[in-house]
Amino acid sequence: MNPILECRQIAKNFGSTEAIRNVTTTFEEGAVHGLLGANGAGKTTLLHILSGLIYPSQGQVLYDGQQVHDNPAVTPNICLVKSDERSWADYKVKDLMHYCSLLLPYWDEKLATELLRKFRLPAKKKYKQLSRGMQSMVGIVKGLASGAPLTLFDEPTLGLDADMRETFYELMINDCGQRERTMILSTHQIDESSNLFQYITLLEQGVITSHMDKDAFVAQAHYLQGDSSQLLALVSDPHVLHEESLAGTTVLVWYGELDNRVELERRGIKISSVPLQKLFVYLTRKGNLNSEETNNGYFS
Amino acid sequence: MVTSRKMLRFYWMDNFKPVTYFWSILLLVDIAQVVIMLYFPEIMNSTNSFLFSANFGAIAIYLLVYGILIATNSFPLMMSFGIPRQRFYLSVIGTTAILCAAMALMQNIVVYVGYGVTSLLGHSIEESIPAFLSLWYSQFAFYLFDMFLFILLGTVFYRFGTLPGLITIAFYVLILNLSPGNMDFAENFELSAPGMSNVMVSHLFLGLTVILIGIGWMLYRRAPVRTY
Repeated sequence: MNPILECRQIAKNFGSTEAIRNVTTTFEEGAVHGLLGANGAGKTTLLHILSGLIYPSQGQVLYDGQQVHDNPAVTPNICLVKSDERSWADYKVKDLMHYCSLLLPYWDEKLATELLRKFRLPAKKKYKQLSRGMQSMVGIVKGLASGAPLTLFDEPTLGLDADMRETFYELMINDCGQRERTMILSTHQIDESSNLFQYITLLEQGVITSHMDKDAFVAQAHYLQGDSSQLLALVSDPHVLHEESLAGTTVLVWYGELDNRVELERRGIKISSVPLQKLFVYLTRKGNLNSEETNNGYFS
Repeated sequence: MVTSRKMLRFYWMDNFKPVTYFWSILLLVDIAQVVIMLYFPEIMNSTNSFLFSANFGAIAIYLLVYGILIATNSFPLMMSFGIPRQRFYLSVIGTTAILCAAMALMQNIVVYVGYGVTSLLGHSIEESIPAFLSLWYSQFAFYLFDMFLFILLGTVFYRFGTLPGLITIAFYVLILNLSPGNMDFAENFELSAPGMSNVMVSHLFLGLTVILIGIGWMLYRRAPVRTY
């Protein structure tokens, strides 16, 4: 797949805080990307930079080879759905939809009307009078009906109940099936949305630590379950993300190539795959631990 | 690509209701004033041309509030629809110019029609009504200056926060107090519009507005949209 979006050494500082550090990556065209990271990892800031809403402190973002920021030929092709659109607060849903139809060049009026009906959104209510979940739905309508070749969703399912979240995932799959669109989705509902993702981008403390095909990403991690006497010897290995022991049985989370797979299985070690959400949690914890160690080392 | 026409339509839709409400209230107050003056002279008896002077202040306040809203609300709103900063800023210049011109024109009509009606009803006014164009121009220049002053203030609040915003207000107050001429004309354009000096002041306002537009662009050129 060709990259549609390219980040070249972008960084963003807010005062003395480094929100994004030296990010260089590409986002493949026509795919759904999962942007994963713990709270405060820099996901929202990165999405704002990618959409041109904020300038990076250094580096550049290219869409189809062209500069994103303030480029009238590019910005209409990118639609960012924020988790909280404060500037919408005093507008009625119908007014917002009208503005969308006026200002978004690929707007699909029919789809928007259908989605408003499906989500049972009250057109005459102001955005600020809606519940958190309904506000998210308005954002989803904007994102899906925008028809933008590149659509970025920042926590789109915030406040949505399970039924509506499923509806959103179905709508996304349908939409991506019908037309070539690239979507970047930041979410904490990783298990639920993992089926959508073709690529995973992992952001840790402002740095992209992984960007790869989802299946390849998940295939790197394994649960190793077996007798503690055999597995505890491996705990100190840097590939081990996590360890749990109970009544003589140990479970390790191994991240990386498993060269001795046959040998381990011969010794009775059960090897299974790690769900995406669990893998994300282990990687984040490991990352935090490493940074704490670095910090401790620095201050000690 | 979003055309300028579509953006102006957005501003029209955004403004239509508030402007309609504003002028409806203003006209009701003006009509009430005329009725009181004609039929209850013991409450209000005016023979000078201050009859519609409250409108000038009201329009200036409306425009300054709208100026702040452009900076703090319209900017992130337009950015959320993928409008580039330069296009947004050009649309702001166009919209404010049209809005100020329309407000000045509307007030001119109120003054002329109002005086005509009161004369017809037998109420004489001592002051002569200034020339239509002169009255319009002096208002237009002042409103535009007023609006950009507060677009700038709103931008400082939005971009840099409360403290820099308050410092900007203090700076405005200081400049106002240090300015050599008095600002009485802004309270009653009808009295001061005919004077040549006022035309010069209006030119000065337009010049200052151009400077404010330049400063505004420096602030907007790379302005970030808040991430929260």
